[in-house]
Amino acid sequence: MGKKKSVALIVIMVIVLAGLAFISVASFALSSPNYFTPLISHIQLSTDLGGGYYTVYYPEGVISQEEYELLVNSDTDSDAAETYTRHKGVYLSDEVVDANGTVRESFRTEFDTAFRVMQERFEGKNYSGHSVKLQDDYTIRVEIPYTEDETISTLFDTLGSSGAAYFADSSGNEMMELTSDSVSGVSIGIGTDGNYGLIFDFTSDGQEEFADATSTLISSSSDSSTSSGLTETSATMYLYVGDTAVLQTTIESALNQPSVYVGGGFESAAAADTIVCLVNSALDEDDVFDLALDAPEYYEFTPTMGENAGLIVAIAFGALALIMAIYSIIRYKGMGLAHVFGFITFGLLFIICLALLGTVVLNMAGVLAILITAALMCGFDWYAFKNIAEEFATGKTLTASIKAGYNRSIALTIDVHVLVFAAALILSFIATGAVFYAATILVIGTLLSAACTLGVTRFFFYVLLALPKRKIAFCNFKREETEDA
Amino acid sequence: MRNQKTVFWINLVVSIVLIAVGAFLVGFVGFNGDSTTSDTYVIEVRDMLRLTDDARDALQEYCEGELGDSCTVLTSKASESSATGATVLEFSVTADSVDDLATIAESLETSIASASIDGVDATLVTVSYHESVNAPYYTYLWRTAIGLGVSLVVLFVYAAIRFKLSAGLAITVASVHDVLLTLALVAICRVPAGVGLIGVATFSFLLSAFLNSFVFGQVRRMRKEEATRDLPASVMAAEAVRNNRKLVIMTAVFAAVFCVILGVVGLFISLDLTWIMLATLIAAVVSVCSSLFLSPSMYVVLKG
Repeated sequence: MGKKKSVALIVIMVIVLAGLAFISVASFALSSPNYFTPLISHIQLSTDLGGGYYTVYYPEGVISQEEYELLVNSDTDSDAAETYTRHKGVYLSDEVVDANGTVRESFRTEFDTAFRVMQERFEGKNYSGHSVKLQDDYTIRVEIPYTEDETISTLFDTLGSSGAAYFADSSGNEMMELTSDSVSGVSIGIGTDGNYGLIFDFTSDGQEEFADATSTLISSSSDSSTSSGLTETSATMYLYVGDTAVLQTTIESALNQPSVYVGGGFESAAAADTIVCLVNSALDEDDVFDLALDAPEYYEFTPTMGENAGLIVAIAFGALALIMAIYSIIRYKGMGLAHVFGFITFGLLFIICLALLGTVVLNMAGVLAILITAALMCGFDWYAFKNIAEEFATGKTLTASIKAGYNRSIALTIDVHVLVFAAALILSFIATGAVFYAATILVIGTLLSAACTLGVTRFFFYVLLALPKRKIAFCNFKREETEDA
Repeated sequence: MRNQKTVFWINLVVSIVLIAVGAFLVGFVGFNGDSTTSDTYVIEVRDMLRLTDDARDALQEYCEGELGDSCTVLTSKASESSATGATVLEFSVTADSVDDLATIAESLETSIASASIDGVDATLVTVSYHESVNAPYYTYLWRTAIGLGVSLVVLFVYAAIRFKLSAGLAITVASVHDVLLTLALVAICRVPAGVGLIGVATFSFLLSAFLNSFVFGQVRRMRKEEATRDLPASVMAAEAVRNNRKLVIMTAVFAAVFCVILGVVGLFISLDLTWIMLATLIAAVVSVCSSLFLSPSMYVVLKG
């Protein structure tokens, strides 16, 4: 490659990398009042790095210490002191405990079902770093990561709904109960208006039942005239879980088909997903509980790894990259410089992927996944440089050494990347929660590391090698310069 | 050859003893004292108003000091109510029983009532307590364990095909060994790393496979090259270790530097970060040792 071409390429690449780095980390004002937020701030963080929300669900008949004190102190006629019995940090009403102070078996069974179902519902949301814990034996404490995709109070209220799922008319009269006999599953769908809704897959019995329900609904609805003079018949159908209407939609004709899309007007997929989790969990009769759960308020908490943990992790990566770059350049000179360019490309592409892929959430295990892939990238670049040095030591020319060195490295580089990629892919398919997200990050990182090790660093090396007069010294090798390149 | 065998047996015996001790501790004493793997007692201090950052920090510091006199504070967490803006501080503490916890809470409430804390109106502060039962994480843990198990099978098949059976076996055994030994050492050192340890176990598994591949990649190359293909396995293994030692150590050193940086920062912002980084550091050290000592010597033993 000619010197001019090489300089031009380097200038272009530096401008591209600087541009990527700028949009990755810099924040600047656009036309007032808008601001450009850096890509790095779009990376979703788990509870350990970004904090989140928690709430405590109190079943009917169980109240907090604060509520008990309020009852006792605010109302002189209150019989709360006689009605409630202290149990650890909460108070249980006499509906929950019998005269001997023992918790009634019926309450215990119902609460156990509610707790199990709540665990399944939040597990179904696949949050990174969430937890559903038993607190004081008869309350449920739930922690979820910070999110802007849905209203938190609605989310907690919705997932705490008790009772069976059913379609009802506008008066709340049940028209069709949703059970595993009638519905095989519910998933998210996108309507023609761009909003999200629910797709119900019916069994053959369910299809018939739904056709009857919608037919009855339409036949009982009143006709209305449109502006073009045509007569239209429509009715509103509601989806209830227990006493709560979680969705409403307009039906214009009887629907007799195996799958039905019910538009809910959800602007975010996450909000629709919450209803999907709720309805799916209510399909199985064993998972239906009648105990009302109340989450009076929710709380916002700081990251469990400490305040600004996400920022500190980013700074630690920056410091490590700097140490690594200095080591590489001192140890391998020109080759090290090529590696630094390759690594910067790797880092920036990683930030772009993490910021733009909405399905990725960064947690502490994900940080370790990034560390592994960064180690892969550095390890195999240095492995290639070591092989080049060994080939050069055998007396080959620099060009031949580079070619032979890379040829010697390529098999192992591919082998290890394939191995890590396969392991990450398997984990992302099987694991849930924090490990699922870490495995997804590992899949992305392994692909980027392979591309940067096998392609980008090598490309930069060839481009940089065209610049110096003393190419051998540029690679930190020692021999009388007589040749090539 | 004899030397390699000795190295292998010493490694194996030491590892088995440590893993057995770790397993004993997990089985009889519990994994560690953190808030996610064992049931915990929590003291909750609530101010009905939204406190300023300074007032919140002052209240938190005061409570930690007071609680420190009667129990050990494992973690503390600040949060804010969505509805009222009330500041809530939660202290995860050690206590002998719920009754003991109630006494500690009562004593803290009395103490706060008579104290003068900048920016805090003591009459608005309430203290309550809770027992929080460990979330079992069964689904999460067993699915990850199955994922790691399937990955292990894939690792063995791939490595056995690419590096030959004995090398594939050595890499696979080393990976399992590293995960188990890391968890055992974390249990023995009583590092309260929490449920994030599953991430450390995954890290340990992959780092081990990665570092071992450096060594066995060289062994495979030596087996292919005419000048070295007839060398005995012990010489090949020793040569591979010698050639790749620096590379393996440097790669691990960078991972370790990262752990140390975050671990030290964790001392100031949250001990959870320090513990998870300490566990990761243990994983990195174990992986280096196994790729330089255990797996090459095991390969020699397997090759006879």
